[in-house]
Amino acid sequence: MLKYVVRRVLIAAITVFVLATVTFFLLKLVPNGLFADPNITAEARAKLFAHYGLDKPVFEQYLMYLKNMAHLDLGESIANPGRKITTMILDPATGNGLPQSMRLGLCALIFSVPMGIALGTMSGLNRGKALDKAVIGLSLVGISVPSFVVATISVTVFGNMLGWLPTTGFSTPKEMILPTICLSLSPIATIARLMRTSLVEVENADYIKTARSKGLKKRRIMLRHQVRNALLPVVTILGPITASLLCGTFVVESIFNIKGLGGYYVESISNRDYGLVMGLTVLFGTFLVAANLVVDILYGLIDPRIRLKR
Amino acid sequence: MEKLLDVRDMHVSFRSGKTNVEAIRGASFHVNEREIMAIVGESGSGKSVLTQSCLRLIASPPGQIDAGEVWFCGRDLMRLTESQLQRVRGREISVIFQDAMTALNPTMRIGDQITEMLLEHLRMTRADARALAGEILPLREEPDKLEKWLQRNLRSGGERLERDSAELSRFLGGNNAREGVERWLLERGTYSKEQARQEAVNLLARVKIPDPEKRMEQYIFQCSGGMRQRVMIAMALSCRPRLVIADEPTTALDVTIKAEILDLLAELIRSLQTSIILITHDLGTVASCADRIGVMYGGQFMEQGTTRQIFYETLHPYTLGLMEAAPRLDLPRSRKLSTIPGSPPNLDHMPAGCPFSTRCSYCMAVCKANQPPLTDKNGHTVHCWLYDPRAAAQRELFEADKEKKHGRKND
Repeated sequence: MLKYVVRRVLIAAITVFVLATVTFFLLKLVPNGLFADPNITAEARAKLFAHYGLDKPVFEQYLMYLKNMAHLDLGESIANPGRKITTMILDPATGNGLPQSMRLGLCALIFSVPMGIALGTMSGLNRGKALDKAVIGLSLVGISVPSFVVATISVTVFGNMLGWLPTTGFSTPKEMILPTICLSLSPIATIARLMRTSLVEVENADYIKTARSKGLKKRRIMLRHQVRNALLPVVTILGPITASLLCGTFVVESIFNIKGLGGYYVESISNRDYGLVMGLTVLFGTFLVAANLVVDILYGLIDPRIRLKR
Repeated sequence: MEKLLDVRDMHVSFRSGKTNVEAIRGASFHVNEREIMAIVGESGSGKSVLTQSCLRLIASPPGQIDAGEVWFCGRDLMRLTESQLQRVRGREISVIFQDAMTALNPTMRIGDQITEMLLEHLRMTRADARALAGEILPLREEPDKLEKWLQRNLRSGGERLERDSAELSRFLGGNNAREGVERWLLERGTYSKEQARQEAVNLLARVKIPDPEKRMEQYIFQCSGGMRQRVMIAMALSCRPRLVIADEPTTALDVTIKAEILDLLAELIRSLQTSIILITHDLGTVASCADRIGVMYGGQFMEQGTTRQIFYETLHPYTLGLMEAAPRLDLPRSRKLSTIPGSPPNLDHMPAGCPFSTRCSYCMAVCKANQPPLTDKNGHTVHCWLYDPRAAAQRELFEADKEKKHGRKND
């Protein structure tokens, strides 16, 4: 097991490194029209290039970038002169940025995982019945209706028309309800569908028939044999879901006016704020890799076939 | 000899979409006490479906038992409730499946899979006691039935039975009979996890698994093929069932291991005085160990009889074809292996008459249109039109061929 974990961690580290490198060189390939404003003099432009270290050879820039990143320094924002990118993302003073996004993401995660598993289990164990059909229908809606539609409708209905819930901010528990639900719908649907499929697959497994032939009670077969084994594939998709929830979302955050990372994803590109683009890409990549790493280790713990074979 | 299991006129079908496929079309057979009953037949002849239907184990939907009775120790298993049947499954009739790798839970320790079964059947929970008390109370005026119930449900026998009945009648006579009986059941059925664990270790040792303590903690993928099948056998025998259904227990194993497992199975069956239904398509296996044989084809029994009768007094052309097809060492190697022409019938489009009629060399007009009648010769039964008095000429043809092919003579 230890060997397995060490190997996974090493692979994760290499993945992040490759990601950072590819991002860096890809952005260097973008036609460089930085500070192309005709009001900026050639002299001033040269100064700006020197300030951001853009006058140096590309490879030297790359080494600097790696060195700084190792110190968790992502450089200075081009669009917001004088602001460090790290502070923009983490923003310890106001609690905006990543912490805010993570709070929202965490709420959605805590809500959607048990919910998705519960719905999927109910539907998988009552296959063909009304409950199952309802869950399938809802999850189809959950997957196909984009979040901006759900968010706009819920703001209009529960916020403006009924006035039950506030529609901006994310600090009081009441404010948290709508954004959390809007962000959770799609992961709930994904998890529920996978759980259902997985349960149906396990139900036809030979060992379920064996369990029945042993004279075990239905409840025990369901919990000990069926649900447990059906959970395994569901654990695998928790990695990507976790990463995408924690790193902020553009739509839900902007509709509910939550000052998370979401806005930066769009702004940084339209502002050609390359430092911020790189920072966000590496951040998201790291989260994704880390979440998958956790899932891999978790999977090893749950599934003895993986834990004991390596 | 007493019949332990008596299956009468089973009909099982599978529904897929709008079509209804009849997998078992009126199969009857029985198993005597302490005997090995073999069921042979090609793939798809319905051997597994038939035996699993006896315990209502087939997946439903799509499977459905349309008709039939399965008498076991005085009860028709088809008419038991699900929870009554749960007490029969595993405890009185258990199943050994073909491929232990997929038939055992991959994420559960071997030990846990055995102990969970022991605990299920030997430990009395409050809910169990309540349910059983409900079955006992109506029997209080009928000591005969009560004794039978005790024998069947609590494995009470001999002196134990006397003691049990005496204790129970005291509670039944008392003024709070239900509560008394429940308490008595709970006390009688104490069985700890530690006891179950110890029993599981003993069982693994009994099926000759080295270092059973260590195996208890392992998972099924950590065992070799032979080991896995031993675990499966240990599990199936753990509650000392009266009947074991062994569904091709050696098909997934290589030849040397196969012999070992069969010997082990035969030995355990003998020492536990259990009967066994051995499902196989290997006539060699059957010839050496079975007491009686049933030959299945297209969801029906073509012929049933003692091993001697089947091999030496073959009555059905299909059985003869099967034996012809078995490779033999005593014939010249240059001789081509014989086959039965054609392929097993498509269950969707079964002939109206005998299912074998499309491939039978002795097929007559009557065979194609009408179900063959049953002929019984001293317990040797056959479903074939050849034994109709009007088919004497065709029958002589069959007898002559049989004699020519085997140098054997029928009585």
